[in-house]
Amino acid sequence: MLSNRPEISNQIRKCRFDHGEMTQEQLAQKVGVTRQTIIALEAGKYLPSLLLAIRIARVFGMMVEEVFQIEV
Amino acid sequence: MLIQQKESGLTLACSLAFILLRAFLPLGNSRWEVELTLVLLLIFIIVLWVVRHYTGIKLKALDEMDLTIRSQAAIVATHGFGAVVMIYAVVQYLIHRNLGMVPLTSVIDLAYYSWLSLYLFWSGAILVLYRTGAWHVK
Repeated sequence: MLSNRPEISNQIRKCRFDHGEMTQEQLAQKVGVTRQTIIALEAGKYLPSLLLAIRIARVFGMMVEEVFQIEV
Repeated sequence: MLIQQKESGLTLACSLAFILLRAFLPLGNSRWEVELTLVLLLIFIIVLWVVRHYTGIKLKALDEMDLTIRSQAAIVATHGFGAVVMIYAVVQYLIHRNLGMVPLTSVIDLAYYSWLSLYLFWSGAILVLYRTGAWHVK
């Protein structure tokens, strides 16, 4: 089944601010995507690949499930 | 506006323009109708190439979300392309079934319109998916 709404929420915005108010551009460069992708992730418009999710979690020094949560 | 959206917008506009151009260009009485249609198709392909260079889009610079959107748009385009071919073929059959053959101009028109519809659906789907977000498989 296809959907435009991911059932996974994330704490990327919060994590950025908790890590020295990191900008979207800085995070994008660290994980190798464009700023538009970070914007889409934070807006819940895009579900990242497992690789990207791990990269984002590593930037914040967190576990993947601490950054991404399944919405019940 | 992203480069990807700019490229898709221009591709969509060009596809529409060339569909309308062929539809309203009075080629029906010309003995060179088939050749002129093929020339239009060639010009369209060159225009797409120019659009790609003008926008400066490079596949290597696209990230995973861009590639996901382009892949999903390609699925939409394939369905649109198939629908155009199917409907056109059925209509041609219904029109010409008494003769038992289809005019060559209709065959070339099928090539022309189906190819343009591929880009029409593809670029249109890219624009929609950047607005709504890529689909997620549950």
